[in-house]
Amino acid sequence: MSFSFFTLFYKEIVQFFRNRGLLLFAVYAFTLDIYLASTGIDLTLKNAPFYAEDYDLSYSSRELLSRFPLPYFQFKGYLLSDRDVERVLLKDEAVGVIRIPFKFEKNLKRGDKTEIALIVNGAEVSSSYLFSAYATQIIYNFITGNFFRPPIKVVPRVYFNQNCSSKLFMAYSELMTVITLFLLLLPAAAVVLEKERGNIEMLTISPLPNIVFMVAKSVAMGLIVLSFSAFALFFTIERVVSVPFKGSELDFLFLTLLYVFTASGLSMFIASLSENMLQVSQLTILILIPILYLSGNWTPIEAMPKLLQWLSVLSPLKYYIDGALAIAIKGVPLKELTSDIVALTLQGGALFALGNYFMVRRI
Amino acid sequence: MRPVECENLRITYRKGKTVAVDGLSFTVDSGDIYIFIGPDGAGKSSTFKAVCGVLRYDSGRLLTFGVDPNDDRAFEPVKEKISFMPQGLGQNLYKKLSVEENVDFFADLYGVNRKERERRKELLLKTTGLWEFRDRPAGKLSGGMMQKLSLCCILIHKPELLVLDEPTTGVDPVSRREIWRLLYSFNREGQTVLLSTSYMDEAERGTELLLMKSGKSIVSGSYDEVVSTTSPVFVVKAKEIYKVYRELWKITNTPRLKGDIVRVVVPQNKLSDFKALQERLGFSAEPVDPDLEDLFVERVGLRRVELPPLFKPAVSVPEEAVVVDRVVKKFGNFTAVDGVSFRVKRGEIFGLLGPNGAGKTTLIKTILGLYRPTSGRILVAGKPVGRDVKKLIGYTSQKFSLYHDLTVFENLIYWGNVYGISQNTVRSIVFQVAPIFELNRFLNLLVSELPLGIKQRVALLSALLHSPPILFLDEPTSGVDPVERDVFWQVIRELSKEFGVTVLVTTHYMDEAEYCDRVLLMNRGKAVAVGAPRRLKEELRETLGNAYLIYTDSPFETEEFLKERGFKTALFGRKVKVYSKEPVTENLLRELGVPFRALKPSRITMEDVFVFRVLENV
Repeated sequence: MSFSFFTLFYKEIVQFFRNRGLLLFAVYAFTLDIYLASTGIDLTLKNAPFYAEDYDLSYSSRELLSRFPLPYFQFKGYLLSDRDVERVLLKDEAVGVIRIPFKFEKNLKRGDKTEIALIVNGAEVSSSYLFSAYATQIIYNFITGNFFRPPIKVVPRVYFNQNCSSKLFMAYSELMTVITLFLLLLPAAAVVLEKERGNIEMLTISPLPNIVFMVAKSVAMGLIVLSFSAFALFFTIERVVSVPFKGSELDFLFLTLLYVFTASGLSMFIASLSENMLQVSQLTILILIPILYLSGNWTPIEAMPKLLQWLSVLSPLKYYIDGALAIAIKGVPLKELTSDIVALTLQGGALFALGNYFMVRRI
Repeated sequence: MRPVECENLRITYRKGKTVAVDGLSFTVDSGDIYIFIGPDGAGKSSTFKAVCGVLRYDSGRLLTFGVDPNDDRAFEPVKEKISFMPQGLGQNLYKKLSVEENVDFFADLYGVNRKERERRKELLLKTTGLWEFRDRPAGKLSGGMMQKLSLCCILIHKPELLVLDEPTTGVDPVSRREIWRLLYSFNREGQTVLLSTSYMDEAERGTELLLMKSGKSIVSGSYDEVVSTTSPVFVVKAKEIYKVYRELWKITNTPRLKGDIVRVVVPQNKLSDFKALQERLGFSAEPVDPDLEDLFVERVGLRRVELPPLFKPAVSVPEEAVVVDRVVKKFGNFTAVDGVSFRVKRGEIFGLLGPNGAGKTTLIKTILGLYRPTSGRILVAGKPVGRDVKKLIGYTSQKFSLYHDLTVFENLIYWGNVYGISQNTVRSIVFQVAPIFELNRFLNLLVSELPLGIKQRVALLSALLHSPPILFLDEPTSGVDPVERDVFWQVIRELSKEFGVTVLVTTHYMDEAEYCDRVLLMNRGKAVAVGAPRRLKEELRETLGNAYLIYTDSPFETEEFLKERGFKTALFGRKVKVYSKEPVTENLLRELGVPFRALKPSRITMEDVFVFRVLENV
């Protein structure tokens, strides 16, 4: 008895494209969502409002304040008392306040010790952190430029992303998050729909082995996600967001293909445990969040507690992000990514086989 | 003021694209038991919702207690006089609350005072037999009990008009009779009942009826006035009944083959042809009183279906096609199938009859290997169900299991493929069969856009693509109108009688037993009776005697009176059905002092068999 795989695939793909809500969501996620994430979320300091409390009002103090330029900083004016400082910080009118003491210029010129206070609004964690780092750098440059020369000069060079633009990182990171989400969601949703409508029973009674059906389904869904990824890569990222892609797109898609197997295997676990769409969405979120956390996509793995660092070995997204970012941002060729490929293949093969097996057992 | 007055009612959905009710007119008088009969999608539910002000109608004139339900503010006070029970088992109940808490909740909702509430609650729960279960959560009741509780809940505040959407669908015949009894006692206090059903045999139970199809009324009025055909109805008996049946099609489009008889309406101008045919074939034809189905088929007309031999199975199966031996299926503490045994012979149409929740579907799924039996032995085509047996089985499930987002043709290709049939073969089968099944204009439509009857045919066709020698059909005729149902049974009969296909079919329509060679009656997981429908009815006739209908103005008193005298009885609206071994004559009734208007002979139905078998077993 022979079954046509073409017919099996055709059905899944047609059903996906006829499901308007899901299709719309996919199109949104692979275009607008990536665009918004990469252009809207900026990890650099932009137009940070700040005040000065200048007790010196000398040439040097004004010169120093003029070194805080747009578009990073935005000078809002002078404050006259500590109470005003508290007021602007409390009302979130400023990220920080720079306080310059009496006799600032005089002490500097004399070579005496003097202090500049940076009062930062800790409620806005990342911008205040950046504010104090930038401000420290500016003050240091001002002093070394005008008053004395230190014996060491630090010369930074940025490779791969010369402007340190977060757009580049955000675009790829969001693409991979979206890919993960759809890989977890689509196959599980497709299977559970069959469960809900009772089609799965018909298939179980038919001579078509359940495993063939499940594999056809996850492969079809994987292909859909793969083509959407290709579209997002060539269109959304390269054209619309227009960030550079250093390596070979084919390498990137090959790695994505490996990842498809891993994630759709997980999706089958979700499907086997769920009876309806609500449960699928709940389980998807439950699995997606740890995968994202442990992948190093949001925080570097090195910054995590030891236990989580060990667990991060389990997140398939980790290997995918490692490899895919290396290809996209650094232009590393595939053959130098063997360890990621091996890890993804092993994990993918195991999860895909287990997920489908588990699914078939549970019917 | 009349409870409902309606003229030229029109209700549409999807901005006028779907017409649910199309120019319907009817009037419900105070004290009526008004029955709407029609298949799914006829527009019964829409009409009821409009009457209760739940759904806006498009045009026409509709007054409920003299107020237009579309006028929300004016209608608000009227709502207190109405109780509406939506379609589905126990839809208005809170499944986690106990029986008593549910009733209390509804009483509080309508502001019934405490004393009155306790009095009515006890009365209602005791008449429905729910009193001893009053602490049980509603979700753990059987379908019939749930439906009775729903009724108690909406009766607690004494509404003037009761609107019930299919309260008896899928309910077991014993509970069904109890529900009707409750409605009659409610009606006896002067309240009005408006009720819908898809069972043709419930038509007789009301005072007025309206037969609906595709949003329009076919006939309306009281049963005895309405149910008459312009042409005479015959019951035909013959040795070679199938041959006679075929010939009859040449004269009229109304013959229905039921077991070993044919029921036919012969048009006046064809009576001579009928006589000639009778002489040529030598069958007996007995004129009978028309019933609602006769009326329906005379108005709408049936369609003859003849299958091409391509569905003849290539493989033959053993003489005992399906063997079920002491099968038990438990889910936790709940026993869904409790020691059922039967054998289906090759080429037989075997019916599993029973209400919702009787265990029919569980049993069929256990036979097919979807559930592992807790104990017992099952053989299909002589073997336990495995891959090679699966090829021999065709199956349609209750929900028809078609993909709603694929077209009819895509579905057929897909299901063909699942059975290893190539696209080209499916194409050629569809090409030959589509005109016979009247599917041509539906082939490229999405299944979600199809009417129920067409869905059923597509599902059947998809199960037949691989010409299986054994067919399992789970509730294939639910909610389908009599014409569609007849087409379906013609196909099944042809498959069984001409091609030797074995068919196992489940249904909750007791009257469909007529189409089966043998039936198994199921109730609460147990087999109640098994045998040929005619024999089962004959057996009951031997123990109970013949059935008669007594027309009376005081049915309750009449029934009580007869019961006291040792007769077995059942209530049918303003009629009492009585079973007696001694012939019941008008003289006998007069002697006994029973008040009556008329007396007619009636017949023993499959429902009677079910009710009496269940009650005897209890």
